Amino acid sequence: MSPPATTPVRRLWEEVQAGDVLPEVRMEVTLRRCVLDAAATRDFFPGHHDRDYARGQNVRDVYLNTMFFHGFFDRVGGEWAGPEAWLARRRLDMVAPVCVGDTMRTEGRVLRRYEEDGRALVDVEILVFTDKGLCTKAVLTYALRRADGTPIRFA
Amino acid sequence: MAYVDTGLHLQYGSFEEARAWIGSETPPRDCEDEIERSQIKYFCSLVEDGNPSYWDEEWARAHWGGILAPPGLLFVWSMPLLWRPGGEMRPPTIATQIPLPGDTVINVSTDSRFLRPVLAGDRLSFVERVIDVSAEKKTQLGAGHFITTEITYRNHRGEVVGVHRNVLFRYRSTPEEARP
Repeated sequence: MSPPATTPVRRLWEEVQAGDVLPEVRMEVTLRRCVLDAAATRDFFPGHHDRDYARGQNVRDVYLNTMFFHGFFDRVGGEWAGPEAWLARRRLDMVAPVCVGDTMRTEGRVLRRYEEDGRALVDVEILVFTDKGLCTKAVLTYALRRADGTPIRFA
Repeated sequence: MAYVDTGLHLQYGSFEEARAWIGSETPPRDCEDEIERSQIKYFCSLVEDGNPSYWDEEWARAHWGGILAPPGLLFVWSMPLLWRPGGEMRPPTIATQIPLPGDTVINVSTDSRFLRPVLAGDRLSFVERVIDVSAEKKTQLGAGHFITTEITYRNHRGEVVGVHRNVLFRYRSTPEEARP
């Protein structure tokens, strides 16, 4: 099956402003998604698939792992930045576990736009909430294409 | 907590023993296989990421020189198998080898830098280093220690492609006074 057809975004560095808002993304956490999480990240730690173990850890239920959130933040940021943008750095903080039955909702915004060593960078903050409150957050640093077409430098 | 095989191979000991691990480093290890397109697809379907860099061979070749591996997979490439014929088993991170009192772990934060594209077909190797072990701290989950480790990933040309720093909380799920 093909992925959903979308027109790739081309986000130019000059067009970005601090305070710009990223589109909200929502996703439900089902047990099936947790099982796919284990397989897709090769992570068979029991807290991510064994309810009794998770409860023994003082967590409500089976919960998504950190690698899920790496991918989820990168997706939310990447849909805004466009497929040509280069993710240079990601800083992620887990605040509370996201468990089976939760629905996630994102809030994202541009923190700043700046140049460093000649690179055209933006910092984007993304927060993930459930009905329990803030669960995890990340700051993504993207190198973006400049309007003059200068190629993006990775490092 | 009832015994469950976590695959972590937790080692037990005191904070003083744990401190001696700071600065230690694993020998370089190869990731299990070359960067695989099937793993890329499963990961992207997990988080519903339709970026053409990961799906569209033609688009990806024009922009990156091949199918790009999502940056979120970097740490996944070094995850160990749970079994292999006659082979040595290892945990996913050196952090669980550090002797401490806690009976379980939960991940706290990560800081990853991406320096070069990783493409399908590349082969990666990695080295992990212990950066820090904190004094005991109390949290809502229980009392324990924060362990900071850093993995450096290189491709088959010897170039560093990414550096992944991780903070893991190793804690006691049952307070000492409540233990049998």
